[in-house]
Amino acid sequence: MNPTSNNFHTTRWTIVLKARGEAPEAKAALSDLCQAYYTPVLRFLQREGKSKDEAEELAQSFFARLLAKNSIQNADPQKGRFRSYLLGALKHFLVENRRNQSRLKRGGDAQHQSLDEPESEVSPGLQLPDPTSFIPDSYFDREWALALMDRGLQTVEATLTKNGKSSHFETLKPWLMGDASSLSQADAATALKISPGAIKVSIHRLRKDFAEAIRAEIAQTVNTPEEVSEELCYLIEALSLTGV
Amino acid sequence: MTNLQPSNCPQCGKPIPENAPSGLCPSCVLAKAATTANQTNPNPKSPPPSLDELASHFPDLEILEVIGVGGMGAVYKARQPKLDRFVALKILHVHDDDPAFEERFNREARVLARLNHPNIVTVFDFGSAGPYHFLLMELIDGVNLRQAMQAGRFSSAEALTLVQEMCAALKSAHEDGILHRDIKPENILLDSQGRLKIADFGIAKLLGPDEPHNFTLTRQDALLGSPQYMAPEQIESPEDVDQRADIYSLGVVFYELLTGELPIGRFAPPSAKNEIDARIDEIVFRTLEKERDARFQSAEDVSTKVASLSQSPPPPTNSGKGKTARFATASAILTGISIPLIYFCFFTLFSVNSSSGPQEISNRSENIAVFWVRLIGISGALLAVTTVILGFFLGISALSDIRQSNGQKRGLSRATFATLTWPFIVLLVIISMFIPGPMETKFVFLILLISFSVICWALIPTLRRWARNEQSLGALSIRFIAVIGIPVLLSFGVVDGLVTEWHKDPEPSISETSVTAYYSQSRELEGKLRAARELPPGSQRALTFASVAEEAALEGRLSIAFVACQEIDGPGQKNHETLANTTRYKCALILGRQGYTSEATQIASKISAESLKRTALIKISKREFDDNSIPPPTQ
Repeated sequence: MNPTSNNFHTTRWTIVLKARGEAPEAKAALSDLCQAYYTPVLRFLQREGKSKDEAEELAQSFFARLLAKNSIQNADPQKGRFRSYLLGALKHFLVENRRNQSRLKRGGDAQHQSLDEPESEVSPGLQLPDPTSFIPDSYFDREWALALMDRGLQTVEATLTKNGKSSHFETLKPWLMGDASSLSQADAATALKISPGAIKVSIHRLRKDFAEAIRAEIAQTVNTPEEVSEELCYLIEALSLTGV
Repeated sequence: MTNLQPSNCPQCGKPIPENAPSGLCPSCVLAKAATTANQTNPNPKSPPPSLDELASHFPDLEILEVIGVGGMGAVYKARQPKLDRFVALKILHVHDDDPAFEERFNREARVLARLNHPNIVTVFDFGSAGPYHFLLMELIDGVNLRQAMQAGRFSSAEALTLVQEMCAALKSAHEDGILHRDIKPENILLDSQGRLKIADFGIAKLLGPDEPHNFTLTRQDALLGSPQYMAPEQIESPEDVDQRADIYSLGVVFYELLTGELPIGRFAPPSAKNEIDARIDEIVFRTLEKERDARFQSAEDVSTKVASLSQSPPPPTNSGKGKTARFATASAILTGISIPLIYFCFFTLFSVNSSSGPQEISNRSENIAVFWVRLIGISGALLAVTTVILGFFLGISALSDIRQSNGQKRGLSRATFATLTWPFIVLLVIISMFIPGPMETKFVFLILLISFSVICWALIPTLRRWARNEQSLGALSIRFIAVIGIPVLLSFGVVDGLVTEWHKDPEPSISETSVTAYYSQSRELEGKLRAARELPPGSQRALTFASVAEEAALEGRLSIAFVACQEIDGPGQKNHETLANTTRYKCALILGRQGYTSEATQIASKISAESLKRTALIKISKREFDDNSIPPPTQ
């Protein structure tokens, strides 16, 4: 139930880090993580000025290369979170991509996409040739938070649907934001045909499930249980920065 | 990902980004998630036994997860495979240094297991397993009242229902001689159907050592700590509590349900915090009495009182002391002011007009005075009309406000007064126009009718409240004096002024002449009368009076004619009786011809010569006025 409890060591990012990307289950875990956070990467690339198709193509090749390579070896298990690792790798990938493109313009070998060379020399995300040319990290973090929230919502919605309460989610989701909603609980109770007391039970449960889902999601991307709350706070801060 | 929500977050007010999942404000959702999580383990100091550890001691149970951890112990969700049901396993937090625990536990738990009520969590089993003492209970698939209150405030109707259910549970337990001793929102559960279930009955006693000094120690350990819900006597001498201690705790929960706050210190009545029926205050206060003798004596008493609330409609709440009541008061005051104001203006303007006779505006200073009086009159009239309109519309707005509150707000009578007074007065004025008779009669009639209506209107509701025993005799008499006294004082002024006017110049009819002409003519005749009085006694004086009398009779000034006739043979005019008689005869016929039959008879009856009197009376009764000649006096 609680992601911070003793079964923490089984989360994906810890598997990836432990195995340094070597073991098959580590590869599978990384693949899952990349799938989960495909959207922030895509949005980041779009924000970079790429068209939708172009961004999709780039994202595909980025993930393909990330998964194919043993790039994880360079990640620092002590302080790395998957989010910062992915952002670093993405930036690095973009630098490489630009370099290749200019090489192409200059008539270089179009077939040979030599993205690997620098990878073996430096850790991704640590050395950036030109950091100012990138849009701020907070944009990526914001998109990340949105993707995380979406995954949390999907989890609770799926649970409710499985229990035959799909209308509960649609009706009750405004209360996930807090109590200041202009909607009345009595109306919601009528809509769901349950008692006003039961609506409070449902709201509480939805909030609890969602909070657990979010923490479980975050736990997949960090290394230690203590980091879950930290990461959640970090993402809330990132959302409050309105650098859109 | 439909964007159903408004573009601004209802929670933080900031715009919601268009790609926000489910259209929810991401900041608020994640912030709420951050505060929601990890509430299940507030006491990490003593970690609950792990699932694996427990499993070895409970071979008949599949222990699934920790539901909650508190001062009393930890609760686990478990499954009984044999019965195929889910149960709650409570592992009690036992003090090692309490030798009497074993015996007390067995004694108390047996009593608890006997409790059987739909609003009480049932105890299936109890005992010890390995190092643990446990209670096996009904699993409630829901939340506790604390969590429910965090999910949203309860309406007063919901709170009343919950209190009723709590009372039912307490009544049943108290009848079995079991006190809860630890009623608090955490122990009151709501299942997924919204039904209330009280948990942990008597556990406080079961766990709490019998000696009071030990109790103090345990309180410091926060083991049984919920002193804010405890009755004063429970804190002071926990060994000497009865069911009234539970009633107090129930009152604290009741107060918290209604207001979201604890009744600490000099706490406000719930109705001052929310729009709540003020009669609830009384119930809450009586459950929270510091002296238990002053409290409700049983849960049933509370329940009966609460039930009586839902049966009778609520009286106007204190919210009536708000804007609407002030509107209503203001409108009533404005209307009240406007009545004398209009009256004042009416007469000011008239006196200016009537004094504008040609002989009176003789010099400049009087001209200026007239100007000022007229200015005051006109501005007063403007002010009066404004007051009337303002009072009327404020009254209407107060009325519509009261209607929107379904009659909950106060000030209905004031608003009615403000709205209806002037239309009513206008209606009465129109009616009075059709009433025959002189102006004064109409006016007195009008004032009497208005006063009567005001008295009826204002006193009936008061009397009704008094009859329903909602108002004391003192309040009634104050209102009585105010309602009757003010119109009486007002009409005193009005009627007194009228009467003076009347005595000074009690002319009856002005129907065909304008008010102005009426006043100036009567002044003229009065002047002549005064002038005649200045004359020395003699025939000249008698003849002047006679001519004034005839003129007055022709003008219809009855009283002047009367007085003038009287003066012809008045003191010192002994030898003018004949002239007086003939003048009376003439005046009687003149008046009779004009239709003043009774006045004519009156004046004719004053004739001292019998035959002349008879002739006059016959002529008046037969209405033979064509012959104006005076019959020769017969001896």
